[in-house]
Amino acid sequence: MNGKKIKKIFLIPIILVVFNLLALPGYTQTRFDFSGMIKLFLSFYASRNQEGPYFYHHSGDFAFKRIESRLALNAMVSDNVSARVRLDAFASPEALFSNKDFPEAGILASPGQTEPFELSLYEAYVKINHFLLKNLDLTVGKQRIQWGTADKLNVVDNLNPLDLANFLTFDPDYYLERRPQTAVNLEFYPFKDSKLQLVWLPSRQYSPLPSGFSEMLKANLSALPEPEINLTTETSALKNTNFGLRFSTVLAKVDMGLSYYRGNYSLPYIQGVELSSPIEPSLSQVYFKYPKKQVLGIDLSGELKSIGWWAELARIQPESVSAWFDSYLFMGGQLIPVALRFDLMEKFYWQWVIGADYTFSVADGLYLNLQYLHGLFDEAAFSSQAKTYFGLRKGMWFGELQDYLAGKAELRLLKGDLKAAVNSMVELSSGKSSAIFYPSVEYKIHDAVFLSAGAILATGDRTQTKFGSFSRDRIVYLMTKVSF
Amino acid sequence: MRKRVKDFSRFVILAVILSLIFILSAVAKAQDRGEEILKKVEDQTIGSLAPADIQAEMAMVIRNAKGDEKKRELMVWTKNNPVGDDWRLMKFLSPADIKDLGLLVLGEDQIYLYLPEFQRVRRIASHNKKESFVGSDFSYDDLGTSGFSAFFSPKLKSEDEKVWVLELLRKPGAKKQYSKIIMTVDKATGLPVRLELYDDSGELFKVETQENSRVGKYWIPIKFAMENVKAKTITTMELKNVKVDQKLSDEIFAERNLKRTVIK
Repeated sequence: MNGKKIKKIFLIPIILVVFNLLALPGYTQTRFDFSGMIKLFLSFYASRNQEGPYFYHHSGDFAFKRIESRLALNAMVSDNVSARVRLDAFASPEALFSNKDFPEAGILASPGQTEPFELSLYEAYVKINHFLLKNLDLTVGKQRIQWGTADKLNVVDNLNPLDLANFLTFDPDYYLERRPQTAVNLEFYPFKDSKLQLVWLPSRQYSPLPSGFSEMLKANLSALPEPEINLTTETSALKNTNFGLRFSTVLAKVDMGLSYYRGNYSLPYIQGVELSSPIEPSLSQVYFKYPKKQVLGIDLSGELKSIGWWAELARIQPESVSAWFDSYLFMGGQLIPVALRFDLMEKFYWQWVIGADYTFSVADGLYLNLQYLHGLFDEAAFSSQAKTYFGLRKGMWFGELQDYLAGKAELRLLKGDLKAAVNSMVELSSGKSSAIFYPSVEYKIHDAVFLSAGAILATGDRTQTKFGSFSRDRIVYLMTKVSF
Repeated sequence: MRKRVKDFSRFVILAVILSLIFILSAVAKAQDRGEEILKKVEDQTIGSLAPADIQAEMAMVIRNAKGDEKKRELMVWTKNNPVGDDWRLMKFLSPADIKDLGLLVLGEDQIYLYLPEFQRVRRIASHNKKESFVGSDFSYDDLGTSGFSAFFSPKLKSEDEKVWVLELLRKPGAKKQYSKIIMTVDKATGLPVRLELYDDSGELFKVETQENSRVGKYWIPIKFAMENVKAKTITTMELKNVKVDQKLSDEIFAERNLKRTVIK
């Protein structure tokens, strides 16, 4: 049984249950609630870039324009049984999304390609409180399960993959957002503030990847002649599914969680390179795969002298992945094939984040938030051979672990109806500095009606740093949202 | 002559000492009376005379200086916790942009906010307690636990036939937003009817008035109005369908319930 079949087995009955309930308005017990949102997002380039590596544009070009709508239906079947379905629709006129190299590519993770108009079943689950036991809740279906205490830069939040497709739309609503997954989620409450959670993900999870993702990877492989991307995917089988376990409690007024995850990386990593003969040069083949991993995590949050603080630590143990580098050596007038075999990653490595926040009494509040991160979502610890032969290093996407300082300053005015903020992230250990800034202004025109404007500005070395690679892609955006 | 001066000096010193004793005893008496009255108030709000729990719907109206109004609807549950701070859970029913937003108060420094847009529970540290709660004139601190005596030293300022007026001064090190509160307590119900709230600079910042009604055997504040004196804005909150002593279980006041959708 493959992953898609397993997904369907779970999702179809849930959708049928919810829509059957809808068709029975006379059913006295069930209460329904509809809600939704319509959003317009427009972004422009404020700089010229004809050199890539990801985007090619003139100053003033549209970067992205999209109308997005969300419709959510909540149904309370009884005091203990509820269901939720959220359907998202996107219209992106003039969008050209196609990515044949990666089956998960596309804005909404549609296989193969993304259309200018798309529908996405974002969530669909049924929740049963007091399932079998008074202290046990069961949620089955497509759902978001959030682990960790950090602000977005979580290192233990492994159950839902990051939405990297929207990462490159630079829509701030999707900044490091994770996508719901089909899961069976059991939550047991042995004591009032304690929870033991067991989650089974019937299919493997992959991050939706952006259009042009293979171009992004090729930019990392510029030393190879005409690299062709190949992705090795494994069929999800029942024996090969992912699961997680977490115990959380409150001790001495500190919220803490201990977690374990066994599953796959949701992003692909380079596994092998085959270089063609220099005599008959052709495409070089580059192979990627989604390795498996186990993650032991701890997360904490509390306050000290009115300052909020949090910390997360993850010990990541990748499966042993055999990597290869097949090439030719020209020795003694002869071409000798060379086949190197080595481990792709270190046996284990650590990722962690610590952070703190405080609100100063300036206007209606000046909120400051600082986080220090070791290891961004795309990074891993590679073996020395992998670094040598694949050119993996700090300061590149899908490269070696490095440190970051992230900050947010938000000034609130008019009781929070007007907010001026700057989000920033600085790359600290790639040898050359780079940073990305997200200044924004948000105004709540009326209840449920928002207008916001902002920019994405990156700076740094274009070839040796991560954020610097976007330094010529300065973006200004305008966004309106109406909730109902 | 010298003897007269000496006698006069002794008289003055004695008079000063007696005056000081009188003033200090009067202050001590006022403080004793203040503590006694505040205890009466707290007996009604969080003590032995308070309901074990309250469940109600709440209508919130935020009015700005121009008179424009914003309305919010929410559900509120509170539970008297005999061994610590009382517990409080609030869930928003409207407007759409904050629907399902939840606030869980388990103690002065244990407050959680559920953000439905991100499906995330976030702990609110004490520094956030001065912040406006969903754009209203109430701060997180105003909606926190109901006790005063742990954070303020009370003194009886004045009284008449109907009310006592207490002056509450913030204790050193107390993590509270207001430096001073002038509390007017209704003698008939033993509950506050007006609170003048002073900021750190000692200036009048907000004025809260409340109407108390009988629900079963209890007096309960049913209507609140918080006026921001400086901004000239006002927020009213009115409880409806109030139910008391429903034997609400402890599990209602936990993250498990904070995330649950409430459909009226």
